Amino acid sequence: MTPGGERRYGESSADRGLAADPIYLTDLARCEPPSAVGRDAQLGRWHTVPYESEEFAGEMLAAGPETVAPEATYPLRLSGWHAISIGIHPTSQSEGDFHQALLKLSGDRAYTTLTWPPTGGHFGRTHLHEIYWKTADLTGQRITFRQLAIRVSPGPEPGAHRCGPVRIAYIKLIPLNEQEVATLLADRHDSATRRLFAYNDVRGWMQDYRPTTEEEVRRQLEPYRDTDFTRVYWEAALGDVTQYPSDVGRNTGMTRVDDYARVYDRLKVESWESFDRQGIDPFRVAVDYAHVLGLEFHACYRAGGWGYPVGINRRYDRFYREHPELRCKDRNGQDVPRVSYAFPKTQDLVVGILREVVTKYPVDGVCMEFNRRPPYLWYEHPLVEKFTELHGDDPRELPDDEPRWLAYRATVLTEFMRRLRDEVEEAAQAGGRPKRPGITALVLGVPEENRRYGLDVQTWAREGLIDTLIPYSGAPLALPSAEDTWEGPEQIAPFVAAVQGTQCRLVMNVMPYQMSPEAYRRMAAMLYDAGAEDLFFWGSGAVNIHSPRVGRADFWPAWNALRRLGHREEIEAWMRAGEPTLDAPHIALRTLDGWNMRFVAPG
Amino acid sequence: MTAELVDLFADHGLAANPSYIADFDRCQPAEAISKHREPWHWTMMPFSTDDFSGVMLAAGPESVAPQITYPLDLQGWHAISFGIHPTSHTESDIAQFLVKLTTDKAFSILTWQLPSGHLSLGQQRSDAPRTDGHYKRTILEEIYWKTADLTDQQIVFRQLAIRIGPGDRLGAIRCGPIRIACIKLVPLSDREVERLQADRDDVDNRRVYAFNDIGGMLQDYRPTTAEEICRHIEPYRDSDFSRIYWEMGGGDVMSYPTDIAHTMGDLAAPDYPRTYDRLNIESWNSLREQGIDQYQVALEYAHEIGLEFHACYRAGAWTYPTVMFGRRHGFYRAHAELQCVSKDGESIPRISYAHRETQDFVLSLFREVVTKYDVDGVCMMYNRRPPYLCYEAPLVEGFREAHGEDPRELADDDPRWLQFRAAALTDFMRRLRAEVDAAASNAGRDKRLNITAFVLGREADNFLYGMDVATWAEEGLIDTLVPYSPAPLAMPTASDTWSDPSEIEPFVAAVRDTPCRLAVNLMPYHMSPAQYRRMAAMLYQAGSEDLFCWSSGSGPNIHSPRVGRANYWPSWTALRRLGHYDEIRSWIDAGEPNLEPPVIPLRTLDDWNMDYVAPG
Repeated sequence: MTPGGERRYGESSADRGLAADPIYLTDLARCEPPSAVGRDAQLGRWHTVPYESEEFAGEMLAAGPETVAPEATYPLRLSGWHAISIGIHPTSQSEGDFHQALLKLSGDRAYTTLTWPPTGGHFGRTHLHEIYWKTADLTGQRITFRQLAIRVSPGPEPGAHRCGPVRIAYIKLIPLNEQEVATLLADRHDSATRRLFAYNDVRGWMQDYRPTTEEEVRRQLEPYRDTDFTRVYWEAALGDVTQYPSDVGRNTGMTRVDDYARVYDRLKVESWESFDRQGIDPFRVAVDYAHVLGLEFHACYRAGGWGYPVGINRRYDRFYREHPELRCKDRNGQDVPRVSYAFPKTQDLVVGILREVVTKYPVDGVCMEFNRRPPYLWYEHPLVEKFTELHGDDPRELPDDEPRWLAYRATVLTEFMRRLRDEVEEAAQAGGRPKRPGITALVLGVPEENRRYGLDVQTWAREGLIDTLIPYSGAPLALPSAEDTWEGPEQIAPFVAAVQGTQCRLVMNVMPYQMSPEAYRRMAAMLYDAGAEDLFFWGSGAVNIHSPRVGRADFWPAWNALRRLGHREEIEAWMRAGEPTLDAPHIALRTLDGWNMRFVAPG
Repeated sequence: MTAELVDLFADHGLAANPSYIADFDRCQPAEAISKHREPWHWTMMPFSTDDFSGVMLAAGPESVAPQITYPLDLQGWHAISFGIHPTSHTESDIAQFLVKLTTDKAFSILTWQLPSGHLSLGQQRSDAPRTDGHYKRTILEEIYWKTADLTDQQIVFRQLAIRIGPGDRLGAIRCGPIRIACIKLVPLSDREVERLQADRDDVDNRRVYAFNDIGGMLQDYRPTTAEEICRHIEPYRDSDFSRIYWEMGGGDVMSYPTDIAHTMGDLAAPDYPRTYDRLNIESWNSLREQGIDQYQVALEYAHEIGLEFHACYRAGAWTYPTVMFGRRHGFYRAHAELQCVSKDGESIPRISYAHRETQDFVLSLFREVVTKYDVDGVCMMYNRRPPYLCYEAPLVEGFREAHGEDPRELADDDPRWLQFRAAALTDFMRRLRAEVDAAASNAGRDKRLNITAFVLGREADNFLYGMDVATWAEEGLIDTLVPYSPAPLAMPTASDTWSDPSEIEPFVAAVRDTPCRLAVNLMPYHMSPAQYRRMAAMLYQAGSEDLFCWSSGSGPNIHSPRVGRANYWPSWTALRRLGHYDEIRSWIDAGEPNLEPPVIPLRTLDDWNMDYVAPG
């Protein structure tokens, strides 16, 4: 371990390793304006709840699932750098569907969404839980809290908003000395450790949060500030539906229906329509803010997103329904619910969308997401005919995995990737870009499946058609199963071999979404050792409300580990030190609102 | 077991072949059906399986689809099941729909299990269709409902719709998204009908008891009509259930209109800590405004379907942490002098039964219930929120007088102290017996009312908290003893189940040679049908005469899916026949044949080829 590694290790996890004693600010009744805070629970304002812990007493700031509590600002009146953590009294599943709160410093352009697990059940409610937020210069700053409130229906009545129930017990601050500030700033300027890539499918948070302001878009990027993340992959389109105002595809707002299969499909369309009315382009806001944060911005295209079965908004499948001639076919000639890349018309649409994105926005690259919904081409007429012409055999009479057939099919998708490379470069040049946009392929993590579905990643890397290769996980079909992770280096080796001797970087996707901080570090170490140059995080936005399994930027201890996973030496040092715990502190509560918290029992 | 014994689990053992009805476009009124998704309508959705095809009836989470009727036009007895296309968590957390026959007074709430979203690759039989995670949408799942005479009957469907806000705007009503694909009918022969009716008439099997805390029902479903209350009793019809325990209240908050204490309507607040607290109170207020007494409605419907009705009182429900549970603490805050006190003199958030005033108050509630309602028994629920008495002055002084020592200086488990403290609660139980007997007699009842004690599942815990169940049984103070589970403090942990007959033995011993019946509570809430049968067999063998089901109401609860059992899952089909010990024994002897319902692989749904499965 280098001395530098040792030094960085000391400060790595949240506020560990700082010399000064913590300061606990527990008098949250001081928040302003006074109209925002009251003694009793009431709609439209926070209320305070007195409490005593083993270490200190105070008044927490509370709001319920229908409160819609406004901004409340705590006047810090401090100067200098501090590590900031927030102590919360955990809520439970019976209190709300989501457990998040917003906070920001006065100078921040976006709120941070803090998340905690709903552990406020019988045992969990006896403790305060600490969430490390960030380390910042607090000179002239104040902390503003806001309840997360999502409008699900019009009007002011209860039930029109879904709010995150929240109880903020304290602000914990640890001041940094000059040496610690210097170390921190040096670390933040060290670009060598910035090798993490984030992914955001956009739909998840539009569905969940129904954003209607630019600030709400920026919230999705704010967690990556001052971290090891260097790129964000932002989904631009799926099938013919775009998540930006498009002249080539259909905008998300055009998926409006009268009766939605899922409530959040309605919220997403309402969100989009609201942006549209205000003239806000959320894609533009995201590109710009990513660049403000020093992140590269890559536009993603979901290759198989042409339609979804019942239970999902059917409006996504219009192109599929209107173009039966472009559908994938099985060996019996039956329709397969996919649109085939064997047809130039399909390729034209996809390339057209990505070309439009590169033309309209200063993106740093584009990405084809081949990790969802294969096949992309199957037994369509042009493929069958050409193969028969070349080899004299009808592929429908050959085994599924016949090597000549698989090799042939792959050439078609490789040809598409060549087109993509050319068109993207041309568009960039036409736009006067000084730098060639990167091309990323996100593929399945089982090499046999990539072969089966025509993804010849080795050729793509060798021919320079892609600059970044991201295998998803070891799970067949990328299905969320017990195999949805990487078990060992042998699973990585084929991908290392595919990029060897090429300019293409190998970036391994880290799965599953949620692990302990320790498990994240062990996984990263294994992947680096196996040959990954960078790490990718599918679904790395805020924790989804409708699918809490997904999402990572939650500020739990796991996020503290994750956002520094580019610090390979730090991880190695931690492992050598015997993997000390990275869990967050818990403080036992004695009383809450005069209630003796030592007596625990169900209802 | 005799040669005649046939396992009547669902439609197993019936001779005829099933028929599948899948032409839901025949439903009436026709204007309630649309080919495309529309609010206030059902949508028709074509599908095909290997065996049949049809048009399913679908509605989304905001559809508020109206009542609709399928014209059966059949004669005779049939076993009735439904094939549904399972919805997912992303569609809604509610996975339920309503169904009834024309002449049924209440709808049944049928539930299916939402997919876990996580596959267990490599853990399924290769010859069975995959039914987990994403694969769940590739099948139809069968739900057995009931066996009934369908002569002149039609089947009525309704979407489950829960109002969470005022008006007709989107978002004001949460609905259960639903896709009903088929009605499966198996006709019964004359002999099978005879056998079924003989079985239903056999009261010996009716030894399962249900419990409903009411809160779950009001919070989740926000009922505003009498029929909606009856829905929560309807599942017990023609089952092995013979009693229902219906919570009358806890502490000083009652779930019936009382002249003595508070009601749920008194808990109204400007801002609720949980949304369902608001729904609970809105429901209560709506029923009261219409003059509907949900307690009376439940009691009458229970009696109508042949269930005894027992009024339960939650002994420790005097106060809850306000921040999370609202203002349930009027009596507690008003009577600081009655609060439990720790060894160190610290106040404990409980009201003590050591005080005569507490006892008087609780007894007056029972007197009121017995006087107002034709209940068959009452129940003290000691299985939640102990302690019920600690180191209060009357106890400390009494003990000092009797033993010359200060109990606060003795070990917590000093036997003399525990016995002394138990005597105080036993005295309360004596008063309860006398009070209930007197009230019943004054009300002109011809039968003595049953008294049930619901206690913790560990002998040592009961003794620690003053519950001397053996004395209660021996003195005839209780008629039914229900131990909860061996989980310490009845907490929902891994030990919240019975794993061994030795755990039951102390309770068997406590009621031995007394008229008191032992009814062991079945935990956890949700088990497979096979596990339910195994658990019942073990408990019967260990000496349990009857079985009790804590939180057996419709469910799983929407806000707490862990709770609730009358859900029409396969486990409910097992549970509602758990009084049939012979049937269970013969099933075990036969090698425990599979009790899971059939699944039907879907080929197409709304023209979509269902062979291709992949995440988003």
